[in-house]
Amino acid sequence: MSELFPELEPLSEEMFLNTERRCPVVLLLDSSSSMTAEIEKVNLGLKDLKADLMSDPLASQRVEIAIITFGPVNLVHDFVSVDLWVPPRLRAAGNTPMGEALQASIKLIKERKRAYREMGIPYYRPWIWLVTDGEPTDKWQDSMDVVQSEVRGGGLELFTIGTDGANFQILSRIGHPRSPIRLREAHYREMFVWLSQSLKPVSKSTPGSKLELPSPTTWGEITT
Amino acid sequence: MWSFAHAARRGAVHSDGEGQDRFAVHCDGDTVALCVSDGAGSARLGGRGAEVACSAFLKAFTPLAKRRKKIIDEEVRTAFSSVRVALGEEALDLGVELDELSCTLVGAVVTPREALFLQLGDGAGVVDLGDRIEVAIWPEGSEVVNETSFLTGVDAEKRLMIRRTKPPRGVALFTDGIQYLVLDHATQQPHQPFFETLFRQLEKAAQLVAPGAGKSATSGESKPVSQWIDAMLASPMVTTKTDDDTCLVVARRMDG
Repeated sequence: MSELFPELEPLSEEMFLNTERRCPVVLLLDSSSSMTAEIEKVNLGLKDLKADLMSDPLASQRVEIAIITFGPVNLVHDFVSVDLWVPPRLRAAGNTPMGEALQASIKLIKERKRAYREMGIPYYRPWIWLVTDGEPTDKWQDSMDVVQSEVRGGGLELFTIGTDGANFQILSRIGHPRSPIRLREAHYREMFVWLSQSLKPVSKSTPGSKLELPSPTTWGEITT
Repeated sequence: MWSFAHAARRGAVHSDGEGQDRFAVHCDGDTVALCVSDGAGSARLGGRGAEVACSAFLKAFTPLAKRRKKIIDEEVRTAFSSVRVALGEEALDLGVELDELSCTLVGAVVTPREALFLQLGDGAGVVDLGDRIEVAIWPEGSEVVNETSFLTGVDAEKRLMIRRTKPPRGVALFTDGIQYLVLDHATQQPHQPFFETLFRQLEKAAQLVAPGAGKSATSGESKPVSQWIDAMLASPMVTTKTDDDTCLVVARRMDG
């Protein structure tokens, strides 16, 4: 450019900011004792999620992952961007306190949003990705009200995924208006790759883009 | 006398089609009207909507600028409504839903008396007031990044933002594509190195075009600066930080 217009100034990196944007995702994973046979597939799926997101430079910096397991409720780790994330190895034990786990996720998201605002970091709507193989063993109704009010107010996007043993009636009430997805034959790895593929465009979307997700045909069916 | 420059580039996100950002500018003696518009990502004809909005903006606001009297808020709202009406007529002509033409709008009208800014949706405006450069109109507040309001929304009139500043030496308007590169979101201030450089180019170009002829000898578009902006928007310094469409219009007074 400076050859074309020697009079005008060359560009320099100092002219531009590179404001970070964040796309927070809570993986809310059932790790109750009934998951013992499947938990290694979940662990492999987490590694696949990392690998797939890493193939996209913008998504790997913008997507932040936190993991909460339930049985009992445990914050495995707080939000960390994908490029700095070390997928944990989860173990199965305990019962299924889904209600308490949902409350913990919402608290975590609210804290994260507050931190973003304090730091002046723009963010995309947070996602909660809930996976369960059973039904709640705690009082989930109160948590459902809290979650539903957040979803209605645009505070988060909630996805519910159940295996054959899950209670889909409860999941559809918690996840309303989005229908729960039935995970087919423990296709956890395919599910996490799908999650990655869905997050990539969302973490770069521009105003007016609708949340249009691919059909989960490789790993599950949308229940109706 | 005003000198202006502009460019719009298609972002990587629209690599399979045309970009959806548009601009318009009209300069007449000591008044100038300019605007940028971003066609919605979800709207099939967002780019067409942005084009219609820009030409309707000039049609409605240039007469207000030329009148050289104070422009009252009610006149701004009426002129703004006429931009929405133009979109409605376009939708009828094309036989499509109004939503298909969804777009944002940031506009400015500068007279010797004042500068007036209006905005619906994101995108922003920055002014050079001589002793400082400041944000005239900040991108519309929305909790999350990828949401904004559009001219085609039922509540557009209610959401219209109007801001005024004293007569500026320079004005820059841009769509959200470069918003995160040139506005400091932590302090809500313009990124000074960017805007200082930008406004300075128009000044430099004017001096070069008419050496010794005095600053007021030039008015209208500075093509070298437009090409400079175009090359800037296409450079990796910008394209590695945003994959959205980008659009920037800048005007600078040449006699003060």
